[in-house]
Amino acid sequence: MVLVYAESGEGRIKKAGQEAISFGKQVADQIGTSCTALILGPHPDPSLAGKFGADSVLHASDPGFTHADVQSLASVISEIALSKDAEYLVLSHSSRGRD
Amino acid sequence: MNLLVCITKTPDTTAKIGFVEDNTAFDQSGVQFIMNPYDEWYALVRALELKEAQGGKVTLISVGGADCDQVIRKGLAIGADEAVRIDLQPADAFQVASEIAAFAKANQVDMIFTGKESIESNGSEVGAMIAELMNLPFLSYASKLSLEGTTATLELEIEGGEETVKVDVPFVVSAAKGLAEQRIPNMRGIMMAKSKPLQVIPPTGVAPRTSVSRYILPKEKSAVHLIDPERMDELVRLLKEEAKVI
Repeated sequence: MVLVYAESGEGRIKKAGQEAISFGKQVADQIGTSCTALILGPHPDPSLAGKFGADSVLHASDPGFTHADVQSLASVISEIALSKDAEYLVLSHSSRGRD
Repeated sequence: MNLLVCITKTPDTTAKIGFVEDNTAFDQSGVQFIMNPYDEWYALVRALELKEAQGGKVTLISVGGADCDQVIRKGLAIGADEAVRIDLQPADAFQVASEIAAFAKANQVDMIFTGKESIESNGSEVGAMIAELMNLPFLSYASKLSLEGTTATLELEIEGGEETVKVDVPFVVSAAKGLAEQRIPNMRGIMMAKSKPLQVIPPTGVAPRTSVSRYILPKEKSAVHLIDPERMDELVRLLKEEAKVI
């Protein structure tokens, strides 16, 4: 499974997150697996990730994620990637992704 | 306050970029190397300013061969107190970060500075990796950093704005434009740099985790087509038939 951290905020999946999902889907198709988008924080419609190519979505809606520091986010993403046996983890080359 | 500044060499921005060894290695022949500007102009100078205001020591660290010594000496000429070179031609960012983290763990360090990225690879990886390996906070793309006691206040570039955060030392910070003003080494600094300590230490032996399969150059930009505003049909035809975007 290809896991994509889909950056989101203000009720939408950010452009960087949309591109990451699209790239994750390409990688998943190449290796014959599925693409799962990970959305952290409140979001009115996480299923929107499907529009950009995600086969499934993991959504943790706790508002605490909205202003979480990068170490906490990295720790959560890492735990989920390990627990789901993700073969690839895709992050955006954005300020948050680089952190 | 012990301040560790990570520096790396990068090709001069005017260097002609080419590859060798079946496009798996950068062709260094005839290339002039400089200190990565984000390391030199912002990370190093802000560290020096903090030392000048509060006392302490600024140590440069670089992972590389003897070909790095020229840029390390320049850092010493700008004002760093001492330098360490880990004698290894690194294969990836993880190897660099692991070697620097190992040194930093063994030496009491209050702040670790990196540039926000190296201008050759634009990876922005090493700082975050050092922080993770040392279980330290990582503050990226800092455009301001002030220190009161052992608490720093930083302004960080984020999408669409800036973020102001407070953090206690020790931490890792990556330096962006605005953090400091470039300093040009003067003659006294250049002469003093020759006698400042540059310690060369062996690597710990951490293996890289990635390898380069191939490099390719970006496609050359095509010439600009100027279309008369009265000829919209021609613009549509070009977008459809040549650019193939509609």
